[in-house]
Amino acid sequence: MRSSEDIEKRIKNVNIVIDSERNKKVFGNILRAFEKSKAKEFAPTGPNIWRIISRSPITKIAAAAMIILAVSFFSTHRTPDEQEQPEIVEVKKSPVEMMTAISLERAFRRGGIEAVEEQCKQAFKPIRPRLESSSINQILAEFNGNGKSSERTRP
Amino acid sequence: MKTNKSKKVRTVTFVLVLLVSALSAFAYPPDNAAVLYYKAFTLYESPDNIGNMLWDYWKGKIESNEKIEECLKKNRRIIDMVLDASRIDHCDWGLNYSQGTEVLLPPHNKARDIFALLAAEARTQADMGDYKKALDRCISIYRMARHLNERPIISYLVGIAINAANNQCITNFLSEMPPEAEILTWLRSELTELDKQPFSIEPVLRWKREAGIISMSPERISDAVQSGLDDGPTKKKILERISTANQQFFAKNITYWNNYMDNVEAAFDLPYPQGYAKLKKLDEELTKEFNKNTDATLTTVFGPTWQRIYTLSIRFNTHSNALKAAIEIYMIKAKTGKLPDALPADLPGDLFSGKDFKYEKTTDGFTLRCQGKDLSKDEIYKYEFKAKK
Repeated sequence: MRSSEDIEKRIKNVNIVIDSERNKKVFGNILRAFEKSKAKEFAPTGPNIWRIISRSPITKIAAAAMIILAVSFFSTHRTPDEQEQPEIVEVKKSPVEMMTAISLERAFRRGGIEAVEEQCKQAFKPIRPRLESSSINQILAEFNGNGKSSERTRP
Repeated sequence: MKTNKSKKVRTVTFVLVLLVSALSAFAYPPDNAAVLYYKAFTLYESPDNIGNMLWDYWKGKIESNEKIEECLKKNRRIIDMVLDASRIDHCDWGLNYSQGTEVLLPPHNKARDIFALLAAEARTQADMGDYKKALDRCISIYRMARHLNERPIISYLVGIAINAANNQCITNFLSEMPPEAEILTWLRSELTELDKQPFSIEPVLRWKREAGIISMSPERISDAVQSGLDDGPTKKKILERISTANQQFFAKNITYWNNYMDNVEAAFDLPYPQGYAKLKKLDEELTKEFNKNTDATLTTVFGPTWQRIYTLSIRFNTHSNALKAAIEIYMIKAKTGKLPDALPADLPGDLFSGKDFKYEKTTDGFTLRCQGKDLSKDEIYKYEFKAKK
């Protein structure tokens, strides 16, 4: 029989494609399973779940897989890449396009001076939140005028 | 000897010129007010925790509080910067008019925020009993609005919005302050001085014609249509027509546009009811023409809602006239101790009707009522003024 570390290593080496939706789903399943297990643990009658897990090799593998998935879920959501990457806002018009006389006249026709002000605000609002810590490459890219797109600043 | 002397003179002159130009380069305030406005617009951020408090405060709806005081204190330098800017005669926003209707405008959204800051500061002066200083701030706001009024329509409309609010601000101060002939005389002369550079729509109309012509070119028209019109069948049709356009198409459209603008400018010179009716007719005709006459295609892109702009301009000028008339009435009160029984002669009148305001004494002051209605809203305006006993 293989040791549990051995199993964990093998599972880690498996190339698992993780997407956030699936992660959430799996994490939800884990939580539900955990809640159920908690409820059963405190139930006065019924089988001992931990004993079953420790005895059954299939459940051992499943539990290890779940733990690894849970860990990977947290870790992917904590990496600077994922955590600090802002939402990519769909901007139909650039600030320059929004600040032209004709574009602002159109805003005025739509909603008066308030609509003009709103459009100006949108134009001068940063498209994405500023990263708390930028890499040298990102800063250089921005200085060189390549920093407009959030795609480009991604490492 | 002579050569040496002249060399010395030249050197001294050169050094002096260098010194003077160096000094003028570092001089404050600069000779262009826009530099300071841009700076103030960039630096001023309306505090998040204050909401509409500044607006409510200058309108007299709320008393001052810690947040307002803190905001005014924090932005003291911005207030001073804008006041300095308003005292400079020359104001050039550096707009590139060769871009036609695609000219980029300054961040006008900040102008009204800055107005609220100045008006709140004026209100603080009034609260302290210094009405002359409060009114002086209002005069500065008028000057700022004049500086804002460059050729583009939007600049004019932002200026109107600020002027209209400022009229209300002055009305509030006049209603509260004890009628003092000295302050009223000073205010009247300041307003007369301002009228030497009237807040006018004429440059706007002239530039609109010019900008339209610049943009009616094969290189620029697509961008202008994309920016200027909402998505829909009209825009689609215009883009289709442009895709097959030749030089003749543009030439005929420019001729149509010129005729249209001749009519618009003529309508603005008419008395309000006739001007309004003419602009309405022009608008309706343009809509009909668009479907059957390709020469009217590009005028549909560049012809803004003139009726609305015209009414706003008449409304603002009527309000300003009411204020000037009220100052004369307050002046009589300051001199005689009581309000006149009838409206004095030769006062600025109601532009909606072309007649005098209807003057009426009330229990706590007086009202000036228009005799013509705002046809876009079907409303007759009445301006209320209180008078301290």
